[in-house]
Amino acid sequence: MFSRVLQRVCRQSYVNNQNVQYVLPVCRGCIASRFSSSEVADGSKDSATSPAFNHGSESLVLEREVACPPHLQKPQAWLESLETRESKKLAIVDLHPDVFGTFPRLDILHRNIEWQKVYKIIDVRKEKTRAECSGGGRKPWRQKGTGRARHGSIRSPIWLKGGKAHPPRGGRTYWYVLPAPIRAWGLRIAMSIKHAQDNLCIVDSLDIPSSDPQYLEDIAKERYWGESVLFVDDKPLEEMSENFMDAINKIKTYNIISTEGLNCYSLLKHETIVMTLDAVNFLELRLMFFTKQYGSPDLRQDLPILRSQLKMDPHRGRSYSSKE
Amino acid sequence: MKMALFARTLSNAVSRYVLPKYDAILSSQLQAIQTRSLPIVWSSTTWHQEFYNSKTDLVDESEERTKYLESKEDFKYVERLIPSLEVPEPPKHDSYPTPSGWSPPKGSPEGLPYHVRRTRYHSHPVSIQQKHGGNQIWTIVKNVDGDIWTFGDKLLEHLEEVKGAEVGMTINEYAKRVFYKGVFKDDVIKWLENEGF
Repeated sequence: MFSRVLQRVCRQSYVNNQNVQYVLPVCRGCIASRFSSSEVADGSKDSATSPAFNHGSESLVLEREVACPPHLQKPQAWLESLETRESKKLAIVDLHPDVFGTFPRLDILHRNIEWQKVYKIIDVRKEKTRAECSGGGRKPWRQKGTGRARHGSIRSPIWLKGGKAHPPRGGRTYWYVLPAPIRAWGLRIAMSIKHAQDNLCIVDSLDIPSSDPQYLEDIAKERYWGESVLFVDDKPLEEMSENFMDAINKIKTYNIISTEGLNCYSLLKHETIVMTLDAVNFLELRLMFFTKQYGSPDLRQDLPILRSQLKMDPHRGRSYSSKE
Repeated sequence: MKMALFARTLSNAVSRYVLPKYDAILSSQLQAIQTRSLPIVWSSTTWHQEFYNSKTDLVDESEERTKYLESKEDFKYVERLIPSLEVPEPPKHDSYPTPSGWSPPKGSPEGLPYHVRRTRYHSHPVSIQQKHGGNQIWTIVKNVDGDIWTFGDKLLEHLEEVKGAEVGMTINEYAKRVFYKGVFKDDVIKWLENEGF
């Protein structure tokens, strides 16, 4: 089912020339309810809190620089708000085509998810070698003359109840590190798929008026988010709003993650992804970095040093961690 | 005799570096050394306890320590030395092609169903692949967005004209690559530049 939807998406937007109107397949609910009956907020009323957009013209496109090649069409998404129960669309956001509109390389996505599943495994199975089996020190019968096959020990691997020749020996790790550019590519693909399947919701911030979990559930029902929702924000977990954290903690299928912990497995596991504009801004810069960075390792080694020792992040305005 | 001379010179040297209160102890020890005729073993413990000063004797813990201010003002001089992690944009030249033969993309005409993006190093995504000890050579064009089939056919037409014979072609639509059998790297690059990529 998943692959068929993707084929439809591929045919519509990638195989034919990319100037084709970006068509979102219908997943649940109806498109009419999404775009006609829901209110479109007038940004000029609350300009202090809402992000800047074109005041002069009629259009509601958010003023947002997307540094991308000119031949690519930028995918767009609504900028919504969680402050009211009713769906309130503040503006249209232009997204980077290589982050939210890449070709869905399922093999890369598969590599990412396999890695996430496998690298943590520690296999603690242990079996005895012939040396560890009890007995077997004495030659069972003499070398010649008995008519039976020659043997040196009753615990050799060819014997029943003997030791294993090459047994598992306790802590075997399946640990390996998938290269960072492949991991970043996987995230781009997962987010492109979520956006193409209408499972991505961009939000100005995750502040909600009350810490009642029912409020979030009503919002999700109103906006056809589905059973599981993953909220993504750019802040570390300590800085996220308390109202929101209290509400989230009571709902099992709603989870919050920082951009630091964003991963393909979580993106695919949850039905809807609700992302703040800050997170979108950061992810566009950080994920595109891996497509532009130098190829040779000696030129690439500075980024982890910058981040660990100097606490600098070139993709954020502020320092990387709030703890200084 | 030699021992006594050694002890005397040592005591002279030492008395310059040792506080007066230790002088008495040392001088008594040295006197003992001078009178002894047996070889002496210098035990480090006896030497250490009485000869070396410990800092705590000199430093007065009750005194206030000097304060300091940490300033990150000069960090900007470090920042500008940190090398760039991303491949930079090429500088603007007066005329193209540059002496090395490079020129930026001119821009392809609108309505073209395909587009070939440059690599991160601003070069054309054309490479040669050799297999089976050089018996099989393919020219690969990557980063083909849009309709890869029309692109493949168009370039194939051009390459067959160049060669004067049939050219084998394979298209990997999923990976956005086109393979041509033979060595056509320069021809492909020229053709791409003409197209505006």
